[in-house]
Amino acid sequence: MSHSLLGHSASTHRAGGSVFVALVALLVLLVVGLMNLRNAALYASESFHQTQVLWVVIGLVLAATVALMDLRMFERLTPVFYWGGVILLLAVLLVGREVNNARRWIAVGGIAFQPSEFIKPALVLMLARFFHSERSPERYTLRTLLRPMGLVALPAGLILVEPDLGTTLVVMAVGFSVMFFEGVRLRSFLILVGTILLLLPIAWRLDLIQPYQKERVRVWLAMKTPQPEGRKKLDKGMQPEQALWAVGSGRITGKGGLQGVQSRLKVLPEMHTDFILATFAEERGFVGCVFLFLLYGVLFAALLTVAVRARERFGVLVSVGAVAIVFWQMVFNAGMVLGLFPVVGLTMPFLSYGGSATISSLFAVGLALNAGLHRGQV
Amino acid sequence: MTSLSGDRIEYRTQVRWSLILVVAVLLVLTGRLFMLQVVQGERLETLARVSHVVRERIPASRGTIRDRNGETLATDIEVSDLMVVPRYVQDVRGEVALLRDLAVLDASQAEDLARRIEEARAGPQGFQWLLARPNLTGSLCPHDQERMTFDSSRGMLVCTVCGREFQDQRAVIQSRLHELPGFSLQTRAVRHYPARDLTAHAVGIVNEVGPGDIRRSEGRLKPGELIGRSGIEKALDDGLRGVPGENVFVRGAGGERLDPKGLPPPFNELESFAPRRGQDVTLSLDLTLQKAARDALSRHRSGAVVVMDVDTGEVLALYSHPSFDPEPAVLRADSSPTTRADAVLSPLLNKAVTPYPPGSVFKMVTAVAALMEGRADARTRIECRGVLDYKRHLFRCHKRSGHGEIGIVEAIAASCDVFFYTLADTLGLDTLAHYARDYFGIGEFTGIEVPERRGVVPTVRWYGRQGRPAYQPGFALNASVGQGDVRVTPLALARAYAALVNGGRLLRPRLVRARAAPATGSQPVAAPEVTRFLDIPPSVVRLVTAGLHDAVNTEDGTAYPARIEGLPFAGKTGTAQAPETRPGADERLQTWLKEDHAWFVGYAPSRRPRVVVVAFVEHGGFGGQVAAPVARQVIEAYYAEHADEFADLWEDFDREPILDIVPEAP
Ligand SMILES: [Zn+2]
Ligand SMILES: [Zn+2]
Repeated sequence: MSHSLLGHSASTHRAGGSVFVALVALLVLLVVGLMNLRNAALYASESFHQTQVLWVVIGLVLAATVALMDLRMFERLTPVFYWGGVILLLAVLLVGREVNNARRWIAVGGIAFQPSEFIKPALVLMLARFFHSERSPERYTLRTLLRPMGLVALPAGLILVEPDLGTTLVVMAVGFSVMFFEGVRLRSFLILVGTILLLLPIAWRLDLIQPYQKERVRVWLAMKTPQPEGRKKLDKGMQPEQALWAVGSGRITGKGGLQGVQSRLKVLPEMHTDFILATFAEERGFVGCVFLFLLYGVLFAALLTVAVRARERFGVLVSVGAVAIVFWQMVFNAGMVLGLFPVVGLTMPFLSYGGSATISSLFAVGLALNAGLHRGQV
Repeated sequence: MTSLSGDRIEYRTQVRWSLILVVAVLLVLTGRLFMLQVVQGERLETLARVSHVVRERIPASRGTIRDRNGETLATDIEVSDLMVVPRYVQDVRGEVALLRDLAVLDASQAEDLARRIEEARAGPQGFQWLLARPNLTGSLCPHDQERMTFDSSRGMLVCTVCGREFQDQRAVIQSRLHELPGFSLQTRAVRHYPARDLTAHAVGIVNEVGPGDIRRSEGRLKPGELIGRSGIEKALDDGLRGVPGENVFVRGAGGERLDPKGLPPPFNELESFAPRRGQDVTLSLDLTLQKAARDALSRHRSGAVVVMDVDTGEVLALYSHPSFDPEPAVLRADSSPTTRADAVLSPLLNKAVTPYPPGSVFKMVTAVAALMEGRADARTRIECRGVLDYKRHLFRCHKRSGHGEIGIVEAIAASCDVFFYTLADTLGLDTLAHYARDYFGIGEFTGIEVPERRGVVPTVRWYGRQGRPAYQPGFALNASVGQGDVRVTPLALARAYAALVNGGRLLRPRLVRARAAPATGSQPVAAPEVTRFLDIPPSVVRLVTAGLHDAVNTEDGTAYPARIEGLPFAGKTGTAQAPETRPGADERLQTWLKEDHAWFVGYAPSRRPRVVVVAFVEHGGFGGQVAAPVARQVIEAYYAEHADEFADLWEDFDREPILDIVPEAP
């Protein structure tokens, strides 16, 4: 009994510590992100970092609300969230706003948002509910996993059609993460799949790196400059190459705040959104990037620790899924900017500019914290 | 409680693996960062400094065209345009005011420029070049259009001819360019024709290439470059144009120029190369004779003069009147448009290579044909009563009273039509055409370098093809005196007469004396090109040339008033009926169009011909009164220019009008 109590209090104490650590890591990340975004905005002579502060505040309020709410309410509403999200994804294909040949945005009551951001937590809830209610004492076989796979494939397919390859990948990675976490027979494949997810594109890149670069240079050599500003609008295909140069230019300690050459010249078209990491890397160098990755690592580790303290299966899986959302988003984005993956169009959580993405990421953190905070309640 | 703990324990492994995954993935990303920022950092940083590669086309300057004495007929002149990028201008009012103070712009121009810059800055065109002030030449004297050189000690341009000094606006702007952010000087080539209208038809003109030219050139031509449109400029365009060079450099991310040599591959493999200047061309034309031709024709509305070396076929003068001014408006001293001759007089048409009815100058051919066919000889005498009744058609001699009984020499000299009608009747149209075309090349292209048209020598078949009007035997009579449907270009006549007096060599007339790449110096003058050898016996040549000599140098000769005492020339006059109407001609010009064409074709000196001269005055009237004096004036200019060479001829000249000719074997 005392052992149990001790264990209980110790684990509560640990959980409380993890929540604290996670919050500190999150807040430092948000501050670093806003400072970086301010520089990116100054390069572009704009002020979107001020708008971003608003998104962060809204996101934090939402995260706090979600973290403190009773998960059981979520559980009851899960099918509504999920199917509502699927309907929104269908709607975006039909009436969505077309930007750059893709339909990702939908306007409801004058506010535009991306349903694909909304479907990620909804999918996590739906999967958690499935594993919670359809709980099998044995390990799950492929056959019993058909339904959750379908639950993943439906939104993933719809998002792929938009097209939004990056979000599709994140949705799939999140879905598989929850499944594997549930201890399915394929558990041992967890590492394997994770490795494959990383190694496959690396190998693919290495294989293609020579002709790809040569082609880039060839396209690039052919560029003429009749315009006096001496700078033709860069080919969109040049973006990853330019991002690599920006990252590499950072060297070990970085060029320093507002000293980024590539960033200053607005070479990177998605500089403040998808390629924000390049600006950070150019200014802060290898040292800064390692610090940034450490912050992410600490945040993920703390949130995972908090997650398993949940009082029931549903809460654990929701928390883990929420961590997976932020984790895979971060991994795919960094892989893209660092030239490990092809350009898939994803934002960096807490660094990139954008209302939907910021709120969605913070919402996920709130969801992950919920489990640990509600542990003691019955 | 137990179940909850159990749950917790159940997930412990998963959490451990998840943390391992997170750490592993972050380590992979960190490893990649290490590669990029630490291992490859230096190389990538260099590449980051590169914005793009710039390939600047360096235009090749076009070859210079000169006359045989080295006088420049066409050359490139550098003209600068003051350009501005509106968005790079820092102080619009201030900079424009400075340009006004520097006298680059006048008040209204300055106001206009300021307005245009402001407008462009507001719009999407803000980064596009804007023409602030075109055509700052600085290379030609505004006073006399002669070349100027820059005297750097005084900072002034000095005319090489009149010595006047001018401020070089380009140098002025260049020295103040640091106070004019956004502005820059851009240089381009403009074709300068110092001889202006004198050689316009022979030298031709250039202008900017059009979209069609660029397409056809398969990448050799770029917008803004020049292409020859007529004359030698067109005929020798490929050689004159040269090969443009390319300046390759790398533009840095900050807009600065980077030397490719200091960059990693593939940039350090980029190479620039210099343009190759176009080939210089020396023409056979002699500006002195062109001038004489222009002066001689200036009294007449329209015409042409051709002077050709009888031995080499080199064309010493090829002038078509009225001419036009090929000089681009940019280089003209007065900006007012040039007064161009009445369009009805076709100033752009090169009349020296346009066919016209030749009239009696064609009788040389008829005479040669009759003598060679044995239809006439030195003893042949024919009586002219002023008119010939041929199958109930009356063919009149120009001398209504008749020439009486005359031989072939007098008939040529006095241009008796009846004499030649009679010969033509025995020859027939096709025999006449055979000599005209197959001997003297009339109706053929001469092969001169510039575009030409060819004449017509009708045959019985030709009339059959034409279908209008059906052939009648009388047509031979008309043709024998250069009437009817015979058409000859002045140049073709020059070539035919030259073949008569140069030993039977029908030459290809040539305007190009030498083509040389500027570095290698002058190439040797090419050997004459003989189209074919004519086996005309010396006895025939003697009789015909005797007639041609007498035409100018005896009182009965048709060109006697135009003779030059002491060093005579020879030739044949022609008066061709050619009434016509032209749209746009006023009443005065309509009257003019009813007049006959006046011709004179001859050679000088009579005894040892050096040049053949053709004078054609369109609707000028009588050949002897109108065309022969034109020829005489040109011949006098030729004599004056070569006075040393003719000195002994003037003294020893033997009045015997016989050529020293030994026909050459083919
Ligand atoms: Zn002068
Ligand atoms: Zn007569």
